[in-house]
Amino acid sequence: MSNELLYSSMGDLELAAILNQELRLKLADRAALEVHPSIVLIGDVMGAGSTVIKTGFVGLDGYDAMSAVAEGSSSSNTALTDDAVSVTVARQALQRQISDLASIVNRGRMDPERLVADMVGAARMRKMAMLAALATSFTNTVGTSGSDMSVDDFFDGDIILNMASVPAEGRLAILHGRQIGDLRQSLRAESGALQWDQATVDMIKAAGPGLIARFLGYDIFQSSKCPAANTNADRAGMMLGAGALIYAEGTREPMIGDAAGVLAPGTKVWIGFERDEAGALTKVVGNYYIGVNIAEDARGVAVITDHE
Amino acid sequence: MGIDFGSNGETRSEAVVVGTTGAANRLPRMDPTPAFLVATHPRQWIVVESNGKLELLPQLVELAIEPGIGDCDEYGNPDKMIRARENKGFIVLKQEWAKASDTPDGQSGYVRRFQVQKGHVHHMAWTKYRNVAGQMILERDEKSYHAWLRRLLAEGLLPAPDSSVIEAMLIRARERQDRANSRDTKGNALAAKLADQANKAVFSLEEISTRQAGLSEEQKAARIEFLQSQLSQLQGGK
Repeated sequence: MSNELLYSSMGDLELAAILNQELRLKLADRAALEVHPSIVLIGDVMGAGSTVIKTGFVGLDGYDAMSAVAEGSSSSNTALTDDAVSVTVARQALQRQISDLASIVNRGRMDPERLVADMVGAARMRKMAMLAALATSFTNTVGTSGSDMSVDDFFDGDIILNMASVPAEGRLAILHGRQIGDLRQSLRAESGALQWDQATVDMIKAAGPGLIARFLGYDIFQSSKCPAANTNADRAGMMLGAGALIYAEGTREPMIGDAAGVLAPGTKVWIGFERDEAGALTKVVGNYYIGVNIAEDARGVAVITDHE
Repeated sequence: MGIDFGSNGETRSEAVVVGTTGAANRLPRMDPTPAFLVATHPRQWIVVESNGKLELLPQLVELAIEPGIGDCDEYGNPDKMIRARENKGFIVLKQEWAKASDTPDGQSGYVRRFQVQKGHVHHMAWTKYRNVAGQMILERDEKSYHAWLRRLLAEGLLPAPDSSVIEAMLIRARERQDRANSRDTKGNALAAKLADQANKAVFSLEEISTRQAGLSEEQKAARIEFLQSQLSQLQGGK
């Protein structure tokens, strides 16, 4: 036999592959905590004359209680306790460059417009990573190096925060996925009434997809950005009270000389475009000006437990 | 095309490189990690067992050196961050505290880095990554790492654990032991395991506390022997 119409012989009529019109996102941790009482925005450095915002703390409204003074005796001055923490705003950026030909061929799927959205996601994850990195700076820690996180560790952290008079409202635990897995595993050993409330749609809407549960009055947020400790044997998560972490931003508004650029709606992410007409290339650069710090050390506890 | 046979009839085969696409030569696909300093706080310790002896060694945490994070300035200068952490009681370890003789690769300093597709991964000198079937496996030289920490303690670069710290750790471990032993461990293997861990933690810390206490060597030895027998009984009884 000869001249059969075989797939393998019709190279001129076939494509090596066709592309699904939808580009699916590659798996990654995209959970960024947008709004929570434990993380407070303290200001914007635009027009401030400095990259540093200093926020003051003052011991009023019950910090110093009255004391008994005998009748006829004079009271004396009580010194005011104060403190201050600084946040330094710095540039965080991501740059991509795409050719016109690539944009034409991938119109609607991978073009400069799509890269604008990419910059917003990149800025959100940068903020999350910066916040998570603060865990190692708390002086109080719970957990045991090389041991799985347990309900006991959680209780230990809770006790430390309670002893420091951290308000019960607005508590948050940012933990690595491994820590959350171990914590849930150890829940199986508990015989008393402990409620692990899986996050509801409303909770996720309020705090983002990383919020996975509520436990003992804490919002439980999972993040792969929790930093390493003890030569990577462990991860450092954290348990926080309201106002434990602070951040400041810098708004970059349009300026003279901008060829093209846009402030991504609802964010402080400035996205600039740079054309290379000779090369038919477009650079998309996302700039986000942010700084983070711990507000008060006693409002948080590092949770350092096994990573493997 | 006909088959080209040799003079004695065997096929003439050539070497063929099959299935390589250069993947093995590509840089690892890992998220870059920032340069860092390590710090310890006199209240943060880990319990380590070596040569059958328990000891407390400092817990080291990484402080990322990146503009905008926790007192690092906008240029990534960590001076202010170091001062801020020192004000909170942390001791930020100097790079020169890790001598060439302390590290597995014989180089001084405690931070190492290697290139990945999108930057560098920074890591401690006592860890290394190995590519196993496309997955980066982390390996640690704990023996050498612990030896370094011991040297820092012995030379007074890091302070020895204060007795009040050991006492506080012991109190917390006893609370945990109470909680663990109040659970019903019958038929609950996990609860039993946690109880074992809690008991061991208490006896470990008591042993360390005893070694540091102002007792005679005979008294210490007798107390440690007692603690170890108690632990053996507890573990044997499960």
